[in-house]
Amino acid sequence: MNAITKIWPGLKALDKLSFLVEKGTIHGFLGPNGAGKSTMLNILVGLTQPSEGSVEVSGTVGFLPENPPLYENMVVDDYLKFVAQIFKMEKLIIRTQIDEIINQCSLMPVKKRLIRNLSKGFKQRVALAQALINNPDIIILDEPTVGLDPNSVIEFRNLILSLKDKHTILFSSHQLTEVDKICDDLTIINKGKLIESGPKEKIKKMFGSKQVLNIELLNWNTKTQNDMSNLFGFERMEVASKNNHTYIKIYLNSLQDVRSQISKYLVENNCGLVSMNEERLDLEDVFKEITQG
Amino acid sequence: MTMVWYIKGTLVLFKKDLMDAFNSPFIYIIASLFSLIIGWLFFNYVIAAKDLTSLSITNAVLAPVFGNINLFFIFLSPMLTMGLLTQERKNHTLELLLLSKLNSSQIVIGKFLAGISMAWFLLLLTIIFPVMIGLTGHGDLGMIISTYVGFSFTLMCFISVGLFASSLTDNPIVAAFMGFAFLMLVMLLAVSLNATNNWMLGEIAQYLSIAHHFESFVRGEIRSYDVIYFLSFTGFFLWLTKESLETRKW
Repeated sequence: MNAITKIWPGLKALDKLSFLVEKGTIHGFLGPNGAGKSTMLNILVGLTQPSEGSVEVSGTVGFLPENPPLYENMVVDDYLKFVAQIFKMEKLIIRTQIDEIINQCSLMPVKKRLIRNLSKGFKQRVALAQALINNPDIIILDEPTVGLDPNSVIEFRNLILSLKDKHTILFSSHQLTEVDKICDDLTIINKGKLIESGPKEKIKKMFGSKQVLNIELLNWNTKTQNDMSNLFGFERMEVASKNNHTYIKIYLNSLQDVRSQISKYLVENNCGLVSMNEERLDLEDVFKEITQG
Repeated sequence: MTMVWYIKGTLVLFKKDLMDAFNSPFIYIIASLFSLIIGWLFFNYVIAAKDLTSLSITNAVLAPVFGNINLFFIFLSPMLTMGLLTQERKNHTLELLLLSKLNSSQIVIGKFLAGISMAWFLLLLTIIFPVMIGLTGHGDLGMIISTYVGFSFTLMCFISVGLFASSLTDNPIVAAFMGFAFLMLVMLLAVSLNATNNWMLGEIAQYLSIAHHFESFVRGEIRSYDVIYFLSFTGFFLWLTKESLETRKW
């Protein structure tokens, strides 16, 4: 995908956006609402023409748009058959292919039911089945889990993961936990501009390299505080007390793990260490930092 | 693209839309109202025909009934077509169709055939009137056949206009009104331009009006002059619909 620009009248939705999706990976496409994700994906599949730039797609594409394209008055099985037919599939393989996909998406129990009467989770799975029907090399999912309940989200996520072996997957989302859990690579955009693109771990490291510790203590005074900051060099420290316990939150600059040194110091100085745990900066914070900063 | 796939793909969509139309109560409601009103008109003309001697029964009863049927289709056709593309747009299934192996002309033709079938379903209900007249021994078979040929042509025009209207919006009511307004405009234009006493304008408006070309069919004439008009009118609107679908990509 090369330097895509899309200009809607009065709005530059995408500004020279370029990124690459590696074959055989799950690629997360992140951005806040209105960042241009859907526009980008529509351009990718060819529903919208870019104002400038070009898209290169190697292989067939299955697309699950933001609003699932379902005929509410059709039975699931008939719907999939119709989709298979308009995608010009051979009559002989349509039946086996549909059965396979119905199994894959666990649609067996609703096969003979009207789409209108299905729950949102099932509807979304029917829509995914639609995208899989012609066995595409690349699957593009536009915010696939929006509006699903937590259980359905987990099921859907596992479903996506199970597709990884056969297909390259590009999917957009603004839910970071989700992207964090299933993606290999990430692309982050904001206001139509590319912010970062690359392997997930690399991006997390770039933006979330700091260690954060939550410590619960019984004894705490300003002397220990000063000593500690001299010893370990904190970036920032938050102190709060509740029920005679002191809770401190330490933001460390270094990349090394200093938990053992800190606990040793606290025990030797009789601070009454009750608990200590590490808080990793997750994508959520990365995201906040990037899109606001 | 092979011819076989062109026809096959079109028919797949046509079949789907046909199932859609005939699985919903809407068409049956329209059909019953339509038969009721036309039946009542037929009855009135038959009663009135009793007093007349100078006209044949075909001309006194069937000709005005057919005229009314045609007028009714100006109202009904946009209602039949209003859902064809607006619903696809509303359900976001238009994206699915556009992404599929169907091209936009297959989509337009498939939808058009579905619209035509619905209109023909209503039209078939009216066959009972010529049959009843025929049973009395006063029927004029040639005129009746040419009128139904004429109906097929005018319905093609009406449906293509309605289909175009439904490609412009995602609101079926708006689509129905637009289609209806356009058909009405074409009809009224001929009437008002004829009233200006400008011979040239009158002729042009008359040529453009659908009713003018339909008249000769009711008289029992099938003229290439009219057939060409109907085919080009329909073709033009189907082309507009196709263009309108494709502009979505901009």
